[in-house]
Amino acid sequence: MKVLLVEDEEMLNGITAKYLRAENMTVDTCFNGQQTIEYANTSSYDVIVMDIMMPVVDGLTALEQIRNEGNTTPILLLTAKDSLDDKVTGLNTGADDYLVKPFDLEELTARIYALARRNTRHAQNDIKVGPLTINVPQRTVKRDGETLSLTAKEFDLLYYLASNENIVLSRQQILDHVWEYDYESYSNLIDVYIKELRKKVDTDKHVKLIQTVRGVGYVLRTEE
Amino acid sequence: MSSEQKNNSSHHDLNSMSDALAHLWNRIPLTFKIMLWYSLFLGVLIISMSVFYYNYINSSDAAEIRNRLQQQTLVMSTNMRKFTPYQEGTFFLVYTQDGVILKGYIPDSFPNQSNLSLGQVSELEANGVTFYYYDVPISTADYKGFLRAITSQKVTDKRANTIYALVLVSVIALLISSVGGYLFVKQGLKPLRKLTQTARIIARNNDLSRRIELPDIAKDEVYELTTTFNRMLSGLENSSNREKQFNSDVSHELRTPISIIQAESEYGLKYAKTPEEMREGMTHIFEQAKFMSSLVSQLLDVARLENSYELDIAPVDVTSLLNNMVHHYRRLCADKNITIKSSISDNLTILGHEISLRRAVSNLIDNAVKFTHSTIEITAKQNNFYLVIEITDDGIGIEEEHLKQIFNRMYQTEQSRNKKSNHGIGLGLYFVDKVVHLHHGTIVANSKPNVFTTFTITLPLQDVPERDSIDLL
Repeated sequence: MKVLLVEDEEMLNGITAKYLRAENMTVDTCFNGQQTIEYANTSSYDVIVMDIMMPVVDGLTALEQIRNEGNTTPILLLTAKDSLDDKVTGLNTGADDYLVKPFDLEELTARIYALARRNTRHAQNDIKVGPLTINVPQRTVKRDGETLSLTAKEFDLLYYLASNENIVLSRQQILDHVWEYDYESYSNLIDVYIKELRKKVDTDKHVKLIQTVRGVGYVLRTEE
Repeated sequence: MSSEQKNNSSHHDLNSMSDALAHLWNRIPLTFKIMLWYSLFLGVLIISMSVFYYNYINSSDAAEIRNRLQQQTLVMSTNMRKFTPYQEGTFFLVYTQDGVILKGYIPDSFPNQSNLSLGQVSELEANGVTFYYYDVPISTADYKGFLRAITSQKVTDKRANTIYALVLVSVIALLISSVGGYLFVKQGLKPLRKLTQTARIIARNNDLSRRIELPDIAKDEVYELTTTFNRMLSGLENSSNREKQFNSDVSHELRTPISIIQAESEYGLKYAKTPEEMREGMTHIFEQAKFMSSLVSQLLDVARLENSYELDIAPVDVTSLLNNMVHHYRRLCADKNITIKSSISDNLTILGHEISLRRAVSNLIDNAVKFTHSTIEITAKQNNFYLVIEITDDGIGIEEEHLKQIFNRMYQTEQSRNKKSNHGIGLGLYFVDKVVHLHHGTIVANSKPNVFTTFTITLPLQDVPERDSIDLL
């Protein structure tokens, strides 16, 4: 789960990001609307959490611009503005959810999951992909009822592949979506992780789920 | 019950009755009262005119009747051979000196006994009919006696018609004037009803954005009242909006620190493992709590100032007050690379409220310290009848578009409330402005972005007329 957190109050930004990371999310942070637009354009997120009153470019303007560029990433406005007008304006500008400060981090987490779930058209937290059952909030994966033990990054990687089942993903796409923005990537990082993941998911199994598409990237294939 | 009590109670009854009447009268709508009042007058006028007219016609008729009667009698008396007992509404009879009727008949209800009426026509009323009679002595070969002519004043058709017409026209006129007047008054008072309705709606919905429609034609009293009412509503709406804005600003200001405190504690409870991590969280919580506390005390300052219509005033030694402050701030800024220059004249004293003045000046110096690059200059001198205090810093300055608004409550040049860059919540300058106005002074800000900002306070030195209290403007 990769989240972009936009909040101009540094202390609040810091603690929220810390909490979401503790909840095993991949979090990019930025502090104004201009950065938000840049981040949203260059990377890919499951959910964007954004304040409205920000310097340089305010949240609503950034929101509008992101939507104008055809980006449909779920966006949650996290703001101190609590009037009905503000909420309606925010939602009408293109936000998917609205949370008023002060907020419960637990509620924020649940809403982020809910938005991600809605976006991938899953009705429940349990996602079934072929023989896999993935529960994102609990971060558990079962293959044919047998629990796999994955690291946080391996889980994120598998979840991303599973969310795009039967769609070939490039290494760059995977990097953008699973790793944080400023991650110093090296060429075979993804390959290393894929190899580890295969060990845990596909070893001793007749059907190999994670497949390499030569010259392009990887795919989680559930149909021939 | 003693008689005295009885007396009292009857007195009381009378009072309460007149009270009840007054109450009843007060409950009648104004429109009806006005209508009632002039209808009554018009009615009285019409009735008295009718009575006068009736009497006039009557009396002129009576004179005519008398003349005719006399004439008829004289003509008849000279020609008794052609005597007829009745002629053109007049009865004739002949009777002897003893009162025995020889010829003719007495009309019904005319009294049998009546005085002679020689030489003049007499008037006699019987059974509601007015009779006129006239006697002429006659003597013929057969007898000596009198000829009497009697006529009664009957309402003639012509007269009746005139009176009926008069009554009819009066009633119609009264009706038209009452109804017409009622409609006029009602129409004229319509805006008043709208005024009432609007006031009711405003009271019910608490919606100050409503205005009363202006009556479109006449610029009359109602028009004036309506515009005044609307102007008052605008004023109320503005102040209520300012209040709402202030409340929403305050709640907004409080939300961010509360969010941080809540988030830090939630994280700490759930995930913090090491004491260092806990300590970091606690540090943030403490910082935010301090910020909230200073916000609350600033709000209280402003609230107190806004509610105080009078300040206790006393002579304030501005020279030593400013010198002390300069000394204090020099010490504070010793390790910050900030130079504070000062030029403060001696013996500057004004009448004022020392605590709020000190707070106002320190707000300005605090701002200067926040935004300056290296130098702050504080000057105070007498200029004619005014004390002029100037505080200048060489900081980031204020854009012209913001200069007018910086004294507004909760105004900040940057929409986002990033405490890191401006450290404030927008109450400081508002407070200064209020204090200066309470002292009948003015405050002006001048600035050139990235060069300087100067705040100039001008306070009157002379006694102003009402010196015991300072009005809140």
